[in-house]
Amino acid sequence: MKGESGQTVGWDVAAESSAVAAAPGPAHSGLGVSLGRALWIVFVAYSVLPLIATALFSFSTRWMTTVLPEGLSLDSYAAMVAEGPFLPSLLRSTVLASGTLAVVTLLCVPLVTWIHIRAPRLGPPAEVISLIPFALPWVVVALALVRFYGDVYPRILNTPFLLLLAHGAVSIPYMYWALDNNMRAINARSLYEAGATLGARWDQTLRHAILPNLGPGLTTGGMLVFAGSFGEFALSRLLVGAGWQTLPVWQASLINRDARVTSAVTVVGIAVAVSASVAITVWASRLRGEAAADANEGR
Amino acid sequence: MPAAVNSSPTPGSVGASGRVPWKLTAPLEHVGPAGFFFAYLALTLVAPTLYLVWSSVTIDGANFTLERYQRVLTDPFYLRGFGNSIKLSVATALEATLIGALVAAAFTYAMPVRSRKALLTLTNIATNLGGVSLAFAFVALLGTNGMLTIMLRSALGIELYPEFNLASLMGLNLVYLYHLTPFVFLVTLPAFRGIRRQWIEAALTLGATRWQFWRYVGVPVLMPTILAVFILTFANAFGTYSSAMALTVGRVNLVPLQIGFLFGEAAFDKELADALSVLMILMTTACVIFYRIASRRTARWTERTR
Repeated sequence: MKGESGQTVGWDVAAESSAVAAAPGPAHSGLGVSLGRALWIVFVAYSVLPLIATALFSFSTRWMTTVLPEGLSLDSYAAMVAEGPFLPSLLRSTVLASGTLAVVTLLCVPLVTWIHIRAPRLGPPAEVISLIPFALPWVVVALALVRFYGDVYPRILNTPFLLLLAHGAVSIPYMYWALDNNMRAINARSLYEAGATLGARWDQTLRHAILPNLGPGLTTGGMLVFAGSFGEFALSRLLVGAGWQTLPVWQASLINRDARVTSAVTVVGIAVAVSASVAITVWASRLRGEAAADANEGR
Repeated sequence: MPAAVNSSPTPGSVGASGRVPWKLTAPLEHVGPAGFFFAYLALTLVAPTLYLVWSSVTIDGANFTLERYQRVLTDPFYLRGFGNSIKLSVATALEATLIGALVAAAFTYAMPVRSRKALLTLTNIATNLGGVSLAFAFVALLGTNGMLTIMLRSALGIELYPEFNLASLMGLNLVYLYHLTPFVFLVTLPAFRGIRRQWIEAALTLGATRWQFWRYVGVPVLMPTILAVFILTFANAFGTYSSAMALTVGRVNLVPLQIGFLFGEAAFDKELADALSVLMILMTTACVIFYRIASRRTARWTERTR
């Protein structure tokens, strides 16, 4: 049994990172430790500074020469809300991200369940195939879709439906790996076999034993998919562009025109990323908790 | 046996259905929902990509030609684009891999366990931030009136502009780094988990210093992974479109941006976009394959077995 080693392919960053969080601890003193902590301080600062700059800018009135803003106000946000395209593009992005999440979940849950319970030999090919979206730059995906469907089924071009299909395809790896790691951690195969020996049908085991334990995988994968689709720009711009403007596309059109409104919109984008990340880390620890409980039971 | 079952099987069920789960009863049944999955990927990625490759080497669907590749590879404009993309991607990949691996090491060996969740959340944010938001966040920080620019100007008298410009290769380097370093960190972290504490202790009891352990055992074991992550990061950087586009709007010559610009062009330029894209695909696919091979080599040493 492979245990909690998971994959070296770290797409399910959350499950892996939660496992690391419980790994053996660090030393407590020494030059290496001090250097390491200094490095982390720099790293944290580098990660946080742009976000702080954006947030501050979005709340400022005038900020041209002084170290800190001359005044604070919510004008940027008022201006953002007053902009015509704001609400429609926000809705479009939300609908798109939700739709992508639904598509990806519908595709991956049956697949991963099937692989772990009925067809383990499909595992390696499915792994490899789920890497395909990662091997293709999204610009290329957009071009390929436009060329292919332009000749095969032109009516689908420039529709949000095509964008949804594309988002679904490129988001699959995130959900797949989250669910895959989840399945391994709960040892789905043994659950299924245990259920079978106790007389349960496969769908009963599925409903009562396996699906309830997919929470962490679904949440971490789901948040990655949602945040990714919400903030995605390349496909949105190249496949539908101004015809169906999502939030990032609108945001990009503003970036050189109106810095204030852009900053407010960026804060919205940051908020989405932050909520997703917090949700991921919180739920990932539940995955770790399950695996640890199993380990303690002495498999 | 695992104890994670939330409820017991329904009492009164007579027995498993007639099918034996792990025998191949029928090819279609064996494939099952996987069929939908593969069909979806075929329709959205595989078929379009193959079509793209095919159309890049054919004229009117009939004659084989490498003319577009020849045009791309002899055009100084696109060559410069490739050069810029490769330069930028190699540089950012090197930096991100080095820093990211060190950050992962520091995380495993220097940071208190209690802080780990918070730090992981932070790095997740950096990877989940969309390209356009990232681009603007850097404008807010290092643009002509960015926070840091103003601070340097008013507090220290240092004027960044016009020598430094965010919408340049150097500026993009900083932006890419923001996204790539956490990526490297998160992907390298599991490898560090594979460096067993017992190895370190064994080395120390045999009289080695920590430095010697890392030099002769730790780093060699990790090297395939780090190399693989470097390649993967290179592919990631090379294919980046969103933040580059949002930040520079085409003022910097990069291959993904060029493909994007050729999108709405007249027919004869579409073939050029095809050739550019196929070249990109070749590069990134080779990177992913290399990554798979190399990470399996490390897994040989670091996989936990029971």
